[in-house]
Amino acid sequence: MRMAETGDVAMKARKSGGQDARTVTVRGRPSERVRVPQPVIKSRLPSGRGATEQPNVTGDGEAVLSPFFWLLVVLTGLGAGLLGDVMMVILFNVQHLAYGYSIGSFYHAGSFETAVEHAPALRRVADLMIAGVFGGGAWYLLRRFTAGEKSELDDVVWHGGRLSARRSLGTGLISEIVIGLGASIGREQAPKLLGGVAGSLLADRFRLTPAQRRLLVACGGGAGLAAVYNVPLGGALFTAEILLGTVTLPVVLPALACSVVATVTSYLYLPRSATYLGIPQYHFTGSLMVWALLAGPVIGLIAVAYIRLIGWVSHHAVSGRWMIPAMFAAFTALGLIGIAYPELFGNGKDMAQDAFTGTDGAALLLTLFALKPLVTSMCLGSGASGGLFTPTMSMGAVLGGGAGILWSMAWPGSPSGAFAMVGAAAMLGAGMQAPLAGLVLVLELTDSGFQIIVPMTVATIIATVVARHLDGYSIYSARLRAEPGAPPAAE
Amino acid sequence: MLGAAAGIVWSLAWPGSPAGAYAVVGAAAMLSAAMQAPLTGLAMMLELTGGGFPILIPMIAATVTATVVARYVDGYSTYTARLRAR
Repeated sequence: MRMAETGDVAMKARKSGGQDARTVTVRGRPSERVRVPQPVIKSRLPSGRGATEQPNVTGDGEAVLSPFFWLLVVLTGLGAGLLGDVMMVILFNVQHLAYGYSIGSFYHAGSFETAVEHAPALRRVADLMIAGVFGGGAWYLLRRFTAGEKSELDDVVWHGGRLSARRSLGTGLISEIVIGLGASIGREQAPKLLGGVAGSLLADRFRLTPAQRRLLVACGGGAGLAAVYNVPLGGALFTAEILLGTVTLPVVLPALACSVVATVTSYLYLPRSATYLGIPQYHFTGSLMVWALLAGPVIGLIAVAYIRLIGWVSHHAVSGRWMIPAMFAAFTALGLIGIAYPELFGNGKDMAQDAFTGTDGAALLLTLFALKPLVTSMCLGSGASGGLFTPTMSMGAVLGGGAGILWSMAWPGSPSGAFAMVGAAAMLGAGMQAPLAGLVLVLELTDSGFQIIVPMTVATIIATVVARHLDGYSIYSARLRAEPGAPPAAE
Repeated sequence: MLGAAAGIVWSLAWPGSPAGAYAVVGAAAMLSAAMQAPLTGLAMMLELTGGGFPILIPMIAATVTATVVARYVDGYSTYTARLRAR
């Protein structure tokens, strides 16, 4: 829709012989260029054809990219990177305190899981009980004292409104602390939200127009994701594809700039290496290709069921003071399940890591696939607030890995890790309803996968098409809160 | 080629990266500015070289600045520049 709008502006200008351009004159003659703002060179090529005929090369539209706005894009990136680092400092230190594993080794394969496995069963359950009491109480108080304030990035970008800095910071802190203690939710939501808050505060301070504010908040959100996962391209695509639904230059350029600044800034604390280390370069095989064709529709179906489940538990999540016992019960249950399956603790990074490297057996992988969405929705349903990015991706990874092992009995050729990569991309693409972001994020996170990009793309397209055909919600749109009294928003 | 050559000269002043790295950065920036399409340019260079993630940050930085400068000054791409007169 946005693309059409900006396209219309250009079209109108062109039809009326440069309606907006008429004000610009060069040596007494009107400029031949129709784009707003005007390029430095005022004459067209000898052919007389316009640069904006390439559909992504539009004018700035309502969100004018002035030099000052560019400065704010860089500052938002800096803010997103620093706040992302702060969130990760908190997360890693809580994990260190709770499970006693060394912070420096966070990025070594399976380290959180290893630490959790070494922690005595009683300590694991106790940590999650603490998380339940703390999370339930803290969120109850926060929501009570900031009632009516908004702390949902996508809601604000899509529907308008203003992010509350204090509520966002509060929910981010609580979220990282309970994840550090083992709660099964994503750690990227807080940095994403706080990146958006950085943009929002700058927009307030310098009185930006609503369109500029929306663009800056969306850039900050993607930049927060980019910073904590070291995914500058994926962060920019998150902004463009998911938050704004537009890949024209006036969106892509600030999104990329903001993400890259945030990622470099995050190197102050976070490592420069890929988030998932030691993933082999898998090769294209006939077995993997045919499996991708068959797995695509199945993953699409599963994504629909998963998204519906998320939408249901989000709407019916416990609120008010009942949140405290509910979260205590939910987290304790997770702790008890975690005695047998410690992989379920946290966002699912280690689960995905093991699936990508192909170190787990089919039975364990498929059990984790069945349990991960259940424990994640249990955490969300009890009132916890957190991301779904890694839970969704890790679910696709263990499903792909497990199903791949079984498939390989019939048609050997590829190791299970390759199937996990395909499954992760397809689940993420279908779950986010954003295939470009899904594919790029898996490639960037694993620093691998180019040689199997064909099966990855095939499975991702099919899964996204099937999910879109059947339903079309994403893990983001399914979580939007009901607006009391409002008519159903346009689909 | 431009990237590699400039990179070799630059490395005389500040050594650290091989010429190939500068070449990939230069190619991504040139491709993106010329197509006025930074996402396409970046993805193409990553796919063509089957790697490049470790130098993605300078690739994006050069790509964004090159595309912004080209857009600010003129804004034609290799595609719109070749459109025939109507």
